[in-house]
Amino acid sequence: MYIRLLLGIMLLSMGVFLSGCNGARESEEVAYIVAIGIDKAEQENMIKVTYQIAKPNVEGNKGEGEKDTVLVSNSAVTITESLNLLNSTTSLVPSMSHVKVLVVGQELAREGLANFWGSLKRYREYRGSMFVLVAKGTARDFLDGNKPSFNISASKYFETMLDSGVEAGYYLRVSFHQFYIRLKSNSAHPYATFVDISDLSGKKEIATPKVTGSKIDGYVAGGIPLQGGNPIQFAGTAIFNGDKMVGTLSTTETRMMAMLLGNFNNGFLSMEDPLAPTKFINVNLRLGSAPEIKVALGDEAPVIDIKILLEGEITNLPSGINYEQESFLPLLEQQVNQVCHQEMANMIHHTQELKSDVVGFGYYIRPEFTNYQDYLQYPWFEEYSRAKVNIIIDTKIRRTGLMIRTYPVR
Amino acid sequence: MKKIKCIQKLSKHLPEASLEMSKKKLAQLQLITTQSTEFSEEIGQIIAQLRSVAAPSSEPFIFTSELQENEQLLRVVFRDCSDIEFRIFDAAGKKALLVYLKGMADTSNLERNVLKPLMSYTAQETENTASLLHLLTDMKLVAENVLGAASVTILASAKAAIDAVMTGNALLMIDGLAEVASIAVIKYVKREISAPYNEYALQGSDEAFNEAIMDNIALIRRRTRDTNLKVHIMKIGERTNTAIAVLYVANLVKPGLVEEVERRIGLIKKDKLLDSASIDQYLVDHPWSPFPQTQMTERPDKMLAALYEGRVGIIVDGTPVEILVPCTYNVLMQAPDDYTMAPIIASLIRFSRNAAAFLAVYLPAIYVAVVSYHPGMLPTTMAISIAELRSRTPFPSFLEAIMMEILLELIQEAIIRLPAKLTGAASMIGAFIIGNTVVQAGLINPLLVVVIATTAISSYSMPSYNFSMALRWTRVPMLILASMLGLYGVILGVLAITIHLCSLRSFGESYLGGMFNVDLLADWKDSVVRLPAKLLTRRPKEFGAQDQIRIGDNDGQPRS
Repeated sequence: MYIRLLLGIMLLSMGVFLSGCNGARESEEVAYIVAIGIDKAEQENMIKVTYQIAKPNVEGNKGEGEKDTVLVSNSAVTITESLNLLNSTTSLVPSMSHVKVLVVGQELAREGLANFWGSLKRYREYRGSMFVLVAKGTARDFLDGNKPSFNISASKYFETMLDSGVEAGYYLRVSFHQFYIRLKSNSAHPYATFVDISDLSGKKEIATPKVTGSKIDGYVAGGIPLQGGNPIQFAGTAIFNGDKMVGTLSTTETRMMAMLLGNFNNGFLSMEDPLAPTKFINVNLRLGSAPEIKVALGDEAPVIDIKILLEGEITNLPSGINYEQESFLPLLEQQVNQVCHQEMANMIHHTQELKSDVVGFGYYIRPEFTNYQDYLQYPWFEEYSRAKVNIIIDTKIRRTGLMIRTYPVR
Repeated sequence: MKKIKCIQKLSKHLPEASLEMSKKKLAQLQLITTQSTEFSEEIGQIIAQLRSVAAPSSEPFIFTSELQENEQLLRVVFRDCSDIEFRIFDAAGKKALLVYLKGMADTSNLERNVLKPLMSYTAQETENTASLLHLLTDMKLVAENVLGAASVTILASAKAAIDAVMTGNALLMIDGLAEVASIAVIKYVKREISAPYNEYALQGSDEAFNEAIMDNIALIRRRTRDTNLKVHIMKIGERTNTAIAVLYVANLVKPGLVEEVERRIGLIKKDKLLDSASIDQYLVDHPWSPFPQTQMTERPDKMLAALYEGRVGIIVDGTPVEILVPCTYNVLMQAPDDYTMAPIIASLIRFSRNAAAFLAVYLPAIYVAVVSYHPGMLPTTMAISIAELRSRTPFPSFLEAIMMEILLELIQEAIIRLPAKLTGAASMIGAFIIGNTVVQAGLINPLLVVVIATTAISSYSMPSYNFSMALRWTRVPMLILASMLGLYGVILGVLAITIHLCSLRSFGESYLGGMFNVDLLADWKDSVVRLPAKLLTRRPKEFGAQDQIRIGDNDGQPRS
């Protein structure tokens, strides 16, 4: 009994004195990094890493309009080396556990990310949950230009901004983990949210013009006509071939991609009125079920069959034509089908041109092979650009909004 | 100068008057007095020994038919007990003696029912005297024909007679009879039955146990008319001879449980027994565990409910808080109000009570672990705001938490120990310190105050005070573990506490294990949740009641 007690006390005291509190780091001794930006440095073979560090608001220290974060940039050969350099310039210990976004400058993204991506995944301090953004200019300019107009901290801004992407489907969020999986996948290519700062001049820059029957153009970040507020724009998608960025998808294209990925939750579609082409019709669409995608090997080129069910709700009928009636409703549905079909075909064609399978059709062709080795033999990424695509879009207008009947303006 | 001269003169003429001499004489006198007391003690003991030679070894002496001698023997036993009254009187020409404890016996009752009937014969001198004289030849006849008292016992043993006097009975001895009559006239000062001090029930009975064992048993008896409810009174404590009653329902209780309880009570070796808490420590299997392994209650309704679930109640004379065994985590989490409220509300309250028990142990530990080891687990805005709060306080989180714990313990202890009139002031000061000043002084960050206050409130919400004390105790090692090893330490602590609780046994029942025992899953209807009374048709399986069905056609009769 006493031996056990003695042993227990010895073990306990050894635990106390030998283990120590090495891992413990009080929260005020830590600098929380909210965002990391990576750009090409001026020097050869080096990268410029920008850290956005949260500045705890110690009472009375903060003046009006002062930012709650600090931007620190340094140039180094690797990201980990840059972290060492950061440690030499800040008194607090940098902590990666709260990094929300990883911004990559377009120039660097087009050159390829493979060289430094590894340490981001392997070293435990970096979180797979951070989101990947590609900035049109440099990442530093993007982080510097970010001035949330509402009273919201930088970290909260990125969280809510990327969460709210599902509201329109104009940009998709992709976590670093998802990005990394696709980077190493032989069935899909990675993509990232495309961002830019606008000059707030209000002029627009159309990336993909509207298809017949549609009323909306596609933009990419930086091109949205914007005046006032935060100059930051999240719009479109940067698509990659391997670790190199090859191009961008515009907002409308991104929405089609979201439908194909099965995460299109909600979004308005403005179209020409089929009976009065000068007027427009507005419907709110969402995905009715997961997209049905089948890829067959085909005789000379793979054949991709896509079937998508959209459910919608009428939100605006300025023409006054009673599309709520059963006889008119198919017209409306037909119009949606036609617009979406065209947009989707254009979008897939665009990715085929860029040889980037961002939708991940490669996953759907796998059942065609008896074993994985056979699949590995098949040059899917090459074949993808030649693939034939059949799209069937089926739209059901389920609700007519808060009105059941329209009268024209008199 | 003149005075001294005078004294010198006096001592010269009267050498005995000198200070030294008189001191010496006084000392001698004291010595003689003590010696003579000792002699008388010794003589008394020799007499007692001589007497007990004839008596059996367990008896101090045996009664003779000589009243004079009996009185002498009793006076030796009760020497220096000024509260013993020896009342000698004349009953139809025979000497009689009444012995009782002044504070414990009802004198008016004695006058009415003993002295008056016996003495009235002497006064009237009628022919009845003859018949009385005839009656006075046998104590049994006296008890049957003369005494008007409700309860009379004829005793022959001296030990029993002395015990009877010490519990408040009166002894009647009549010259010529070797037997004595013990007349139950117990009446002493005691507290009235009052509302429970610690276990309020909003819609339940307001009666609580008091200090008198017979009253306490009566409180139980009054609530049921069941002859199967058995009361077995034992006497424990070499000197105090405290009465302990073991209560159980004969056709319900798990076979062997009562015997085990009585065996453990019988094994208690103690000179004095002042409260139930001290026998509790003799009953439990693991005296080193902080967790209460017997349930304490001051509510008779709670005890009766427990008895009808097949448990055993122990009532200790002199304590208003009585014991229920076996005791498990489940029963400690049940409050009488659970059964008066709507079942769906009671279920929610049960749930929050369990959550509170968890918070009371682990919350400060989780706080310290997360803040100093794993800030990445927090939402970013919270991590940053904690950093903001923490930047104004100089100590590490662990020290802050320990300081706050000490402060809390001090305030709690002060409020319990202070006289009732001062507790208001103490809690005010406490509230000021915790609520405001500690934060303003930059000692402790406001979030920690929230954490510790939540913990304290959680531990107050336990229905059992002993259990909440146990939670208070476990909090400190948990804090140390968390500060040393972070969440890993917290998980180690959770494991250690869970294993300890599951291995604890209270009279054979697992303390916590019953909750997770698949066989006892049916008990969840009155542990995790509380089902409507109609559905609670079976007694808890855990306590192994002989008759599992609570409501049936056999109406409490044993099943054949």
